Amino acid sequence: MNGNILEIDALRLAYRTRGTVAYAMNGATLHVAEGEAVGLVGESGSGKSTLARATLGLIPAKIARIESGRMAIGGQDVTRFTEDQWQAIRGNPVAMVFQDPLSYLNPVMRVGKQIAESVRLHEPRAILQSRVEELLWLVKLPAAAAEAYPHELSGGMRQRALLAVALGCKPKLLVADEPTTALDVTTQAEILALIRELRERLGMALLLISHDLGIVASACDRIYVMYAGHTVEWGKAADVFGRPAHPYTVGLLKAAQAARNAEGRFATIAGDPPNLAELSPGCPFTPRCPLARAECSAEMPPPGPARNAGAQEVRCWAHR
Amino acid sequence: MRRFWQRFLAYRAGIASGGYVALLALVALATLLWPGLDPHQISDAAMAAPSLDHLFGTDELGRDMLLGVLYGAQVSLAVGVSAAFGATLLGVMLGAAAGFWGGWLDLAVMRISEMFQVVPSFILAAVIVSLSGTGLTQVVAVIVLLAWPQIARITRGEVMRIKQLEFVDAVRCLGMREWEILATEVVPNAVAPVLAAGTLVVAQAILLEASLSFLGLSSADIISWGRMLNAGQRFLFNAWWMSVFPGLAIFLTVLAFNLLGDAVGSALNPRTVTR
Repeated sequence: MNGNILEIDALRLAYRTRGTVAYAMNGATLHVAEGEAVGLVGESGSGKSTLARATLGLIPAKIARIESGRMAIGGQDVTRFTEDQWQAIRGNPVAMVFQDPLSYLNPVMRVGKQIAESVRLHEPRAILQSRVEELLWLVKLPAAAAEAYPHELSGGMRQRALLAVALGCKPKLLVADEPTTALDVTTQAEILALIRELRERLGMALLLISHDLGIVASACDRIYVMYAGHTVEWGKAADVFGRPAHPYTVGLLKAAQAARNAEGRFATIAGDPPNLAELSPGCPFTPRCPLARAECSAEMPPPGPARNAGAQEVRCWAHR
Repeated sequence: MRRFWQRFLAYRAGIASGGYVALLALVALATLLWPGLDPHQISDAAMAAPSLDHLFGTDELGRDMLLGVLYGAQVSLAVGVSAAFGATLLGVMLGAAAGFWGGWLDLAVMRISEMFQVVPSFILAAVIVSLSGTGLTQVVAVIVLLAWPQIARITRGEVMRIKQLEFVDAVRCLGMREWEILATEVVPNAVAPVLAAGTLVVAQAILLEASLSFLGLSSADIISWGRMLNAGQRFLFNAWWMSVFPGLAIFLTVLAFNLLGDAVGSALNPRTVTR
């Protein structure tokens, strides 16, 4: 391992709207080493997408503010970056692919042109054409796809096109926010295999964000579990999914196995995710936690090694 | 592009108006290039009624009306098209910048455009032309000044809608500069309604030029339909052909450009159903 391409430490980010303050990130910690594949899982509203957008400086400056913590990309502190500074590092070293490839492609521009735009921003013009052809080949699109408009392609082909656009920047870190959620299951598997293959071929790091545990488990070396703006557990994929430590991860995995319990119902985590505008100083999972005790609602536990589990880090009083 | 033509040709008014405009352009070009034709040529037969010699009759100096009407197409097309081009260019640039960046820029552009829209346009045009001179350049400039606000407003609305679409964030992620995003990604998505509105400006411009000429607010050396109407009105009861033919030319041309604007608008709209 030779340094981290992305470092997020205890980042707190608040959205302010009409007097209410919601903490989308509330002490999130996440590191991605160069060339490493990291997964981020959590349910809707846990702050995953905010984290993804933050890594590209796409947080709306008017309503959102980083209150504390630190974020560094390629060793450079970007916590207080201005829009101009962000513009210089977007694409290279960090690029992003999105959930719904149709709405993230320009509807009136041919796919080949869009790939060329991305290449043009980061490389000399002379090699433009050969780079576009190479990128199409990399994502396994036929050369004829360059002449197509986004709406003429299938969902899977669009996601390949979006990947080609992102790769046109030669990123060192690819942030993929739910890249397969809008696709059907067989296409999901193809795109996932493609992302894995591209990562190995190009040696880039990957931050894969998903609520689908299976997808993350199959594509990533390390996993972070996010709940209500906190990263609550992280470690090797085999540890986090094989021997989960945090009660939330345990519940999530049970629910994902779709196992019926004694009453013949699917396993769920009791209760609702907390309102991010009304967070207590303690662990946000306390009201739903089967292991909750007195100190849980008073203070968020610091990260530490898990007991009776794998080699992962966990933020839970039950493990202190 | 193929689908554009399919939709355009499915619209009957589109074919008719498109054909008429093409013919008009051909006439203007022919009168420009044909050697030995002189619309100022005076003949013995002054104010002659339409006949086989002079299909549209002659005016008070014995000039052939048909030749005059055909020559008038040059001025009308030149004024209409260049004014529409200028107004669209100006309107798109100001409207796009206002819609994209918002804030004080938006406020300033919108207030200025409102100023031009609330002043009675014809009176403003007449004042400007009488102050600045009666050349075609002045007429075009006045029309540009009067017509850009409508283009700017349409562009602004479209840009405000498009800048929130997700693909704009996606290109921003590539490290593209903001003005580049506006020019190469946002504005091309706003082309359809803007182009349709621009075509309508051609009709407005032709009509305004004719009105100004009719009132004598154009140079007497220029052969234009409005100028011919102006000359003909004195002889309305003796020589109807001096007014009817240029009037008809204005009427048909303005109608054609209006229909063309509608046809372009619906052909560029992907939601239009092809019958």
